[in-house]
Amino acid sequence: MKRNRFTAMLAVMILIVMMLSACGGGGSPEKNAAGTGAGDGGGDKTTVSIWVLNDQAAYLEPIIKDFESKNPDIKVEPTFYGTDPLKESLKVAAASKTLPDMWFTWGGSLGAFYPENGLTMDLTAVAAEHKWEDIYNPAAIDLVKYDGKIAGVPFHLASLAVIYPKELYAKLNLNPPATFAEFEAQLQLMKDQDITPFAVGGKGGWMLMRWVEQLIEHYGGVELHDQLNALEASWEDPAVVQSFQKLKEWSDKGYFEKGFITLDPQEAETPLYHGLQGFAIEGAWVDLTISQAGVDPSSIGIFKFPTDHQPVRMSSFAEMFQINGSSEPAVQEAAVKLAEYVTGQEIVNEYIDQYGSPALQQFNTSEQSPHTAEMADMIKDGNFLISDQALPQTVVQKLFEAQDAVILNEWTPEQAAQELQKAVEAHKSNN
Amino acid sequence: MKLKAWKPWTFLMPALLIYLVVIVGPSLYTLQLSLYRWNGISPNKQFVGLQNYIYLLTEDTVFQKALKNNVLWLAGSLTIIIGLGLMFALLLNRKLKGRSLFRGVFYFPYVLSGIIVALMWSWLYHPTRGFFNALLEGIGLGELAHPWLADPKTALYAVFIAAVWQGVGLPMVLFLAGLQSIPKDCYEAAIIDGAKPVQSFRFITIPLLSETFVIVFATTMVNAMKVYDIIYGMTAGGPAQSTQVLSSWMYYQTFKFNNIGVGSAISWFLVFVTMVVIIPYVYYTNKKSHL
Amino acid sequence: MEDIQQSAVSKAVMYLSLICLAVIFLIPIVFIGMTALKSNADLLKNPVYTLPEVFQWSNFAEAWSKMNIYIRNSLFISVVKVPLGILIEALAAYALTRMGFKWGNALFAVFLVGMMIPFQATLVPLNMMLNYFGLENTYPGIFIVYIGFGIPFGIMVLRGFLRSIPKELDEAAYIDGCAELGKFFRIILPIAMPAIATLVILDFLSTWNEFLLAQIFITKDSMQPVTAGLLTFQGQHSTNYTLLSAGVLISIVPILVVYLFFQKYFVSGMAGAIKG
Repeated sequence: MKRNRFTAMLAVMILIVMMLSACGGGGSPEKNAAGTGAGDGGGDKTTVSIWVLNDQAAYLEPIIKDFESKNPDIKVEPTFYGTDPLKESLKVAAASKTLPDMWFTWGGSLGAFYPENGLTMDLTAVAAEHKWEDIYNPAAIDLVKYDGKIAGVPFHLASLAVIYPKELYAKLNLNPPATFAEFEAQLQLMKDQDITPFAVGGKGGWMLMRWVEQLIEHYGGVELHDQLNALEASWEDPAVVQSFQKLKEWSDKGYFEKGFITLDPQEAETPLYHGLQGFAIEGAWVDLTISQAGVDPSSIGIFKFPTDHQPVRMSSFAEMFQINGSSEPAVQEAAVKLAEYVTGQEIVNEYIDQYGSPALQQFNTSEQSPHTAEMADMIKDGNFLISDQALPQTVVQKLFEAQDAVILNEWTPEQAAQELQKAVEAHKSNN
Repeated sequence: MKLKAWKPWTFLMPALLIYLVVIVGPSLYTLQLSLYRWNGISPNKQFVGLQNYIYLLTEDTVFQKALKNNVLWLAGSLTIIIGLGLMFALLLNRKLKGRSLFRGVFYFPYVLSGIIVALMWSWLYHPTRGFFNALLEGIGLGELAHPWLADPKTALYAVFIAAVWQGVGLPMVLFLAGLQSIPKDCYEAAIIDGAKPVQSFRFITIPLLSETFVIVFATTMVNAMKVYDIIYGMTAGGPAQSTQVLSSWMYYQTFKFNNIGVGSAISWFLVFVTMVVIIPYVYYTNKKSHL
Repeated sequence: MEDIQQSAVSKAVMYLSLICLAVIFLIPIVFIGMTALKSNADLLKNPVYTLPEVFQWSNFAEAWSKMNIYIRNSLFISVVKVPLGILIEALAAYALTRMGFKWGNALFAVFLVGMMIPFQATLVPLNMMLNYFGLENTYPGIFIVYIGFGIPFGIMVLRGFLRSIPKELDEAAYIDGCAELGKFFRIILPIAMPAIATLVILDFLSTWNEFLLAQIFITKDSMQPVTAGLLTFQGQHSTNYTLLSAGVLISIVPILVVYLFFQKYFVSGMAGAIKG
């Protein structure tokens, strides 16, 4: 009996190995087409491989299909990734020279790696030729530039505003604050009513950072904040210290939920949608999250964080498609065509409910995402690049650490500023 | 006789070949990279000798925190996870009703991926809506309620409890398999000789499980040194980097900071530490079992 | 008489403690099940330990519809990788323990150290290599990588078990005139069945839950494994926790089936195999 079973097992294994080799043979020609964009067996189609995020699939899949039917000579091969896996896969592919023809990336220090290392196609000439200045928001074009060269096709231009539940505001008889002092008064007023003002989850650091950077803008002003982000001014500046002091004060006064520093950001924000907490800083994508939580996004109001400076700038960032600098010219051309199609006005208007914040100058408003247009309008006064993209990633991690450490009383605000400056100097000496 | 000398190599060939290609080659490449300052792509690749290792050990405060956390995690794993695994295996190796069910229950968490375990346990630990704090309040110990994950003093331990829950199934299964290989005659002979259960455990079970102990010890150690996803999922290394571990810091250095050299140095640091512990252990147990 | 009473009491105590422990172990699992049955709004509004307001069985259908291709891919990957890997590992373990191989211990140490190298550290060279051989985006490529990473653990487990098999068996086989390969397949492998069963369970699990390597080396959506399917529930700005929980529960069914099928080999045991 036993012998029989093992002979059977062996037979199955041999069969599998044979299947395998068949698989291998069948697999490779297909893959070649994807890699080089050369022929596809059935004619001379140009193939464009593209890596994007999986939550973009809902609208990118149909858009790509549209595109393919309008451009029968181009075949698009999308791969959808989670956020961290995309970052990882891109880095690995860059190091082993297997980048796709086109990929999604964030701007600032997250997207800089590829153009800085000569991996992306320079789109400056294309932009001039195709009159991008008439199509895309100038702030977006600005955010996809590295060293004065345009390195990506602007996809999203996201800006962040303070969000609050209108119902709660009405109940407390409040209006959006015009000054920082007014805002602080509202915080205290909520706290007095036993409402935790901030709906912030600190896990990962970036959600708390959105408040810290606004404090820095408030205490340091427009010019200093820009210099800090450019690493031109010292982070030991009193404005930074004051910002951390304020953060600590807010925390000590109980403006944040208990144990918020390791709460999941999405989870921590949900009570706000239901009118139970006061404020969060969010981009227009939040509309989708709000509806998923079973709440009407129009029940949420937004205002710009009152920095007490002119102009009142919003934190913002761009997302883009970068194109592989070493793909064949025909493939690059097809990729540019695809990127411009995906980010163009016609498509944006068609898919505006899911699209997020387009990087265009003009687009339709969406009923399902009422804040998209509103925020796009607000950003016209001015914007600064969000800290986790403006600063080198080592400094970003130090900033996250500093926020927590100040709240936990491990570092004084002065120490936090010193540690940040140390990280800045370490970065400078390494590059 | 000559035939015999090369024969083992034919049996080893497939494993050795794949192992060399997949593990040894890339590892040596990584070892080489750990001596350079490099972002992984730029032509500017600078040889710095042992500088990356020195930097980690003397300057990088997060690395030092991470190392300390790994040591704590390792100590906890070797005692608590292995201890519980052995206890469960001994209990469930006896003849009792429903033992397959019990085995299944204790093994079950191990099949879940780290992400869902992290998710569930961070909800259990939620400072205001969590299960544990609600439970404490329910049994009148409300003053013990605590934001477990937000306090650097408790965060790592809180995550570790989740890891125990998830991880105990592995040593249990390995011990169970090991216990099967102990011939029943041994125990029968011992009982006839008048041995007490404790004695037969000490003088039969433990020695005859020595092979299993090597396996359990090595895997537990490796898992402890490489622990990553459950911590990253529950705290993302926070608060204030207090739950950062070597693997997560290696990931940050490599993929976030583009410090391929430093990241590779962390990898090899892990390898060195394991070598120092595991190799003598293997040789020691080897010798003992040959006596 | 006293003895019997005592053992009855101790048995009761043992059962009670086992049941308590089992309940503790089950609580988080039950919560995962409850999460999988909630609506998103319900989940985010109420604590995790509350029952669903309305049981959303449709979560499972929705999760299944997004995951079934990936599950099929993962089944294929695991069904090929696990036996193939174990065969290769068993051959090696056999050579290390039962062929009078003098480099056995040294080589074993080399295999062991490989367990420690973090996956992430090998991604770039492996990716370059797979590309060089044209194996990126192919299952054979992923099999080689998976088998490579499984080798240290597999060899360790099998070597341990093979070492404990009495040498007399080999001699008996030798007298019977078995060739080395025949001895391996006909005598040693059947005896090592409990070890192999253990390995099947654990290797299937780690192959099934593997995610990092697959994510890097398979960039074709239609070929990706179940872990990639689960990621579709996690977006950049928000995660669909309820579908994720449902998806996880669906995804572990094959692991549990494998476990249930192979765990019975623990019971039959090795002692029996030797006698039989």
